[in-house]
Amino acid sequence: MIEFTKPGMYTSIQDAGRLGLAYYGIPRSGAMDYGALRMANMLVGNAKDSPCFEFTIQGGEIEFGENAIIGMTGADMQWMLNGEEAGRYQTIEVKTGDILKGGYSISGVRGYLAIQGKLDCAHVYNSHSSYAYAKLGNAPIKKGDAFEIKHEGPLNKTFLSLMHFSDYDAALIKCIKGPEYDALAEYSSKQFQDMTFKISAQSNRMGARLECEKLEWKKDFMTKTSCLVPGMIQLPPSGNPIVILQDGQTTGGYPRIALIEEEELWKFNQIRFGKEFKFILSV
Amino acid sequence: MFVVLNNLKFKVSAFSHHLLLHPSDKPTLHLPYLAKQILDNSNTTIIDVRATEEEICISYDSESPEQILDYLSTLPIETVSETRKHFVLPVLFYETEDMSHIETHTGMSSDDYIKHLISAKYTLRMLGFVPGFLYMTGLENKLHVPRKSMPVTNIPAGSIAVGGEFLGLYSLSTPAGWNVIGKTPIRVLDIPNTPPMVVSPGDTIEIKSISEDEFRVLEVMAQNIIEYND
Repeated sequence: MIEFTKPGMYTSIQDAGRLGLAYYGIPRSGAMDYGALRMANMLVGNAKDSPCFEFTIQGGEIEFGENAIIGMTGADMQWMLNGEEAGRYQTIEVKTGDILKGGYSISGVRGYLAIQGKLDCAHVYNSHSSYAYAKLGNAPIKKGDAFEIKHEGPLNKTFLSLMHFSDYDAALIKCIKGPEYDALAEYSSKQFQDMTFKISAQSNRMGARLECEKLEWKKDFMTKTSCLVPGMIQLPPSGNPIVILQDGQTTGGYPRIALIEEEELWKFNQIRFGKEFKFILSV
Repeated sequence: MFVVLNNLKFKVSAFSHHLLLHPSDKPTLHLPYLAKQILDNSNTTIIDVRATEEEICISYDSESPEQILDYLSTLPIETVSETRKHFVLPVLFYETEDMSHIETHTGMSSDDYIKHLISAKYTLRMLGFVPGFLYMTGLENKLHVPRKSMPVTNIPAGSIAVGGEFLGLYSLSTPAGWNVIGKTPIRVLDIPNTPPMVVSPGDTIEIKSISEDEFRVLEVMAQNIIEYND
């Protein structure tokens, strides 16, 4: 059993997400940095898409009621085990009564914790991912939440240390033209590629609002309802783009000016609020 | 790229691992209905299907989009819905903040507006946006009311709202940009069952005005729309 004595800022259980339900408006969900989730599972010897805890901006405090094998990846949340620094991207052995504590991230946004064994949590529509809006999967973690970890045999003590070249708080994000890129006014299409953007603190797992100089539509542009996928950059009339993320809506009414492709989106999801970055539009 | 589905020609454009299908001519078939048939016949490489009245989006997990298009062109697509259903949806109309906006915009009293609204039959055009949201058409021109520029307060689950030409149903509590006029105690979202929704594009819906007492009784019964119409 493990217990959250502090939940962190926004912590939820995520895996690879649930597929096949977008038609009904149910998004894929899943890890915001799927690459980091897979590496966390690799560290502890779990199947690559096993559920992990995803922390946002701040790590939580977890008390272990049993011996365990754990691994942390993703954002640098200054993890401490019993008051001593605990590295990321390496397998760690913890003992009954140990306390793992995360602080504020000093690099990146989303941190992952994998625990060897089967995390006992809700499984809905073929996924453990939490989608808070429709109450699918476990609710976001609250203080006092406890989870059982099931094992088939004794702990497998294989210690790994993984090389990682994570580009957190990236200054450049690649994207491709979206279906309605031409909706941008001529001046704005130049602006989009030149100016710096920041992710607003009003962002969550559904979408990231971008702070920037206002972008404008072409005068004769007509809106229509279109399909949205994670990574799609929509431009509402306010002029500030919104990036649709893992828990995002499946259709929308604004022009889709660009798309951040899957692996690049994991990188985007690790940019802290307020950090400046630019888009590179590949054609 | 092009693909032909049931004699309908679609222009195909690829964006990463997503294919967007746009009909070359005015579609003779309702796209969300066609998309549902793709979804129900999806193989392991088709991982998600989304649809609006303008386009179909197919997300795939395969090296080549051609493979997906070849597969799509073999699918038996029906032109007419054999399974189209008709439902009655009970709604409690109440004095919402948005009702005064509607009165100003249409020049009708709320009683008149509702009287007109319940006399028409609505067609479910599409799903999507968020889980359990319904886009219905059939609203008389004089009942159209523009959406609000900024979604504001959270509205209750089951809210019925007017957004432009559409009548909408919000199954979950959310900040809404449409004009709320009432709420239904009946569910169309059926989580965690499969499929997660018990209505399909093409189904027709008739609105029945109910009293607060009737609302409370139905709320306790917690039926979905199929159970209610049985």
